[in-house]
Amino acid sequence: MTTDSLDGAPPAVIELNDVTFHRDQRRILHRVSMRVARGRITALMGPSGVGKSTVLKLVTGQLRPSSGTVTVNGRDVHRLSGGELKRLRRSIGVLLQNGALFTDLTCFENVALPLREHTRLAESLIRTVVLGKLHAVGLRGAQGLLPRELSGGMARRVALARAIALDPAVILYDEPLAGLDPVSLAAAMRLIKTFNQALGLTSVVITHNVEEMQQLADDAYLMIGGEIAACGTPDELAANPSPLVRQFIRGEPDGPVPFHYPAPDIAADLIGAAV
Amino acid sequence: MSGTPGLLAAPWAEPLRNLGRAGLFLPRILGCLRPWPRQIAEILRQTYFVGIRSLVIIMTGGLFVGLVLALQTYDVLSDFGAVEAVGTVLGKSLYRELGPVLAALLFAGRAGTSITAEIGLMKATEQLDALELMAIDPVERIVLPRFVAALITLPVLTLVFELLAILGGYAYAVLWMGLDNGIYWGNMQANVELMSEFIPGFAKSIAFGGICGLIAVYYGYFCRATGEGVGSATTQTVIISSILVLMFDFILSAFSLNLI
Repeated sequence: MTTDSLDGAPPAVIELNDVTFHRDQRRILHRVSMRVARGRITALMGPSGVGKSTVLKLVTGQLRPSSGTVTVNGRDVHRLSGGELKRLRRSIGVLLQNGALFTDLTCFENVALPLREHTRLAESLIRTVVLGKLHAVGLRGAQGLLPRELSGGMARRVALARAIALDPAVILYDEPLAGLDPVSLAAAMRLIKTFNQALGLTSVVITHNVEEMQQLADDAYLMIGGEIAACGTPDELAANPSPLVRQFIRGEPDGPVPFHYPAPDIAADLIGAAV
Repeated sequence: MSGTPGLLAAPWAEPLRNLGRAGLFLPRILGCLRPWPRQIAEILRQTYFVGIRSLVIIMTGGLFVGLVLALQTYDVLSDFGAVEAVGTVLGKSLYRELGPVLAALLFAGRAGTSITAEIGLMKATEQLDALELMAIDPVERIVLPRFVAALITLPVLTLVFELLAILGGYAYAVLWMGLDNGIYWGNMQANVELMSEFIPGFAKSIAFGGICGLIAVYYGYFCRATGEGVGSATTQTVIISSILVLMFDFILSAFSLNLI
């Protein structure tokens, strides 16, 4: 399937065109093309270790593709100068997998950090902005706590407040729902949806959580083996007849993606060991 | 390379490669130096933490080095009836060699490993990635302040080490063995040269601060982002820093004595 199935959607903010990426001779991504439309929530799904986070790092310019192009707002990320790349990163909020809060700073200071680094706002204004962001994620009362005093879900919400501190136009979520309890999961999903609508953001959510993706995303891409296996709306993905897609969507342990890691025949292996 | 020479050379290959890379990392660190109040404040904050971390071990180490040095020299000099020279021997050996070297070795083991582990853990928990993604240079924000802090702190800690060692020597020679107070201080004052002994020793401690700081930040910043990687990096920091301190001690000593 190609990205053409998403034609008719709003203009693209992020586009990957035929991107291939190798690390130490190992192919991670192969001819990946995808398009993230403005104002929508796009889910990038796939099993663990399939290269989803690599896509995120290509979009933010942390990695350089072996071939193909990655554009954000029509500009090739990997042709930007150092200063332009910094400006681009300021316009993109990223929520990393474990929140990546600075452990020696309080929640307030974590959220204030990008404001202090990139703006010349007065301290009173920084305080207003930070408390506003923390209030939006429901953690204004936790402003004085250190990250070690927070639960996993709370830490991710503080990290989300930090990610939106500079009012980015695009926000990238790397596994925002992984390992959360039901209450934190519901809170995280509501925040992603609310922020996208209320702040007019464009969101990319990297996840392997099928049910939540169906509730959250407007568009979805499924990656398997470093390639885009399918794309479309969540409903289209659910109805996809491909065995590869069906195995992932239904969570079947065996199928086109085998349960067993490639190995010699078990009988030969066991008999060989006995001899 | 193969055979015995290859086996002997192999353990040196990776550390030498890393030394080269650390050397190339230095201009990148120094290139981030800006006279901005925020950076100065962070350097001062790190200087305080690095200093505090090492202060107790430096003070304790200094005191006992002074005690044992006085004990041994007093014992040897008493055979020649020259115990009056204890203060001189202590001053010369501490200012020229033992003070800068031992303080640097203790510093590498305490503050150096701490800096490596801190930066390595920040890498393993994606905090460095988070900075980069916020368009904040991790070298400028995390690495530089710690490097400069080590550069500033070690010479000061060396002075503390030497002061405590001299006091340790005083405690043994004067308070315990009954050497005359005036002889201990007077001989030290008369025979230890400021320009040819104290200043070169102090210059060494600045160089050692740079070496320990660079090695600590380099191994932390470039470690593998795993628990095993951070552990290995901290071990490497102690080993490489200690060897470099001893090597540079010889080079700088030879240089200060106009031998090279």
